[in-house]
Formats: sequence, C-alpha cells, structure tokens
Amino acid sequence: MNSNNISNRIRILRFHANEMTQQELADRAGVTRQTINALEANRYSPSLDLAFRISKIFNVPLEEVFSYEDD
Amino acid sequence: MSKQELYAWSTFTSTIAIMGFYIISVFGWPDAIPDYSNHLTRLFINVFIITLLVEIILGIMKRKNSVEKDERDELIEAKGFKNAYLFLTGTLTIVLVQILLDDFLNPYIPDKTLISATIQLFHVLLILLFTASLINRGTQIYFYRKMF
Repeated sequence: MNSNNISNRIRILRFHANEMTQQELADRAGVTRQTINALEANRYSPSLDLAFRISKIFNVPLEEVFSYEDD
Repeated sequence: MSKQELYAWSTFTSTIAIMGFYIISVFGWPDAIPDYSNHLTRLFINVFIITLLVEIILGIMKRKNSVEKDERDELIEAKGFKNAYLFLTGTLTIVLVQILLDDFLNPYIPDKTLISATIQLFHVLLILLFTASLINRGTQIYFYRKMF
C-alpha cells in the first residue's frame, strides 16, 4: 500500500491550478480528501484509474503527475 | 479523519464496551481484584450510548458531492476483513478440534478443561466474534493512522 518508489507533483499542480484545494481535487477525482492528503504525503499509491483521472483534471500527461524512481 | 475512519473507531469502541459488559455480566468479577464491576458496567453502557450517537450523527451528516468510501477505504477495509477472517478460521478450528477431543476423551478423563457444555461453547464463540470484530476495526484503524 505504501510506495517509496512512486512520487508525485500533485501539490505543485494544485497550486498552479488556481490554488485548488485538496477537497476540490478530491471531489473532482471522486475520492476523499484524506486520500489526496495521503497521496501528496507519498503514503499511498493510487490505482491506475485514479492516477489517470488526476492527470486528466490537471490536463497534463500522467508522467508529469507521477514518476517512478528506481531503488 | 475520514468518515470511514470515524466509523472504525466508533465500532471498535462500542465492541470493547459490549464485550466488557458481556464478560462482567456472564463471568462475574474476579475475587482477587477490588470490585469495580458497577463502575465499569456504567462506563461500558455510557460508552456504548455515546458511540451509538456518534454513528447516528455520522449517518445523518452527508456533505454535498463528497465521497463516502473510495478505493483507499476499500483497500483498508479489505485488510481488516482479511485479518479478522484469519483469526476466526484459526480459532474456530481450535474450538472444533476441542469439541472432537472432548467427545473422544470424555469417558477417560472426566475432569477436564476442554470446552464441552453447550452454554460454554456459546460464550466462547460469542467472545471470538467480538474479538474478530475488534481485529477487523483495529486493523483498519492501524492502516488509517499509518498512512495518514
């Protein structure tokens, strides 16, 4: 459930998206605010479906939101 | 704290209260410890009522456009059910083996401590169910706290 290899830029993208709040992003992505918080804290890896939904909200490719780091 | 985590905490607390009340009512208070059974019984009843009110309020409150349960909640719920199921299957197997052993050993060893009588079995199974519920909700709380 925890992933140390997948990082994301959700917080930065939220800021640049007119300072979108976590709750706004959660409502648009169809998840709870706590899940967005866990994602940004790198304590939870989203499903592929959620990852694509988030990237579509920010209108950027998936690789601009999430990145995989090798050990 | 998400709504699902609040439900986990309230169910966990109410299960402890019910289980404590049940154990004191059925088995009584041990003689070696000063008798606080009345205080604890009142405490358990109050805790149960409070958690019931909390769950009713949580059930009534519903934010517009908010999500009740998402993929992370379902994942954590699955982990809770998995641990509770493993506990139940393991302990029920032990109880079943004991019942068989009791039937087998009954003519040879009259004074034994295996579970035998129907009412004894009922208490044991009920306590196992309570414990499984605690393990389920406890696991969920652990993962909610760990991942937050």
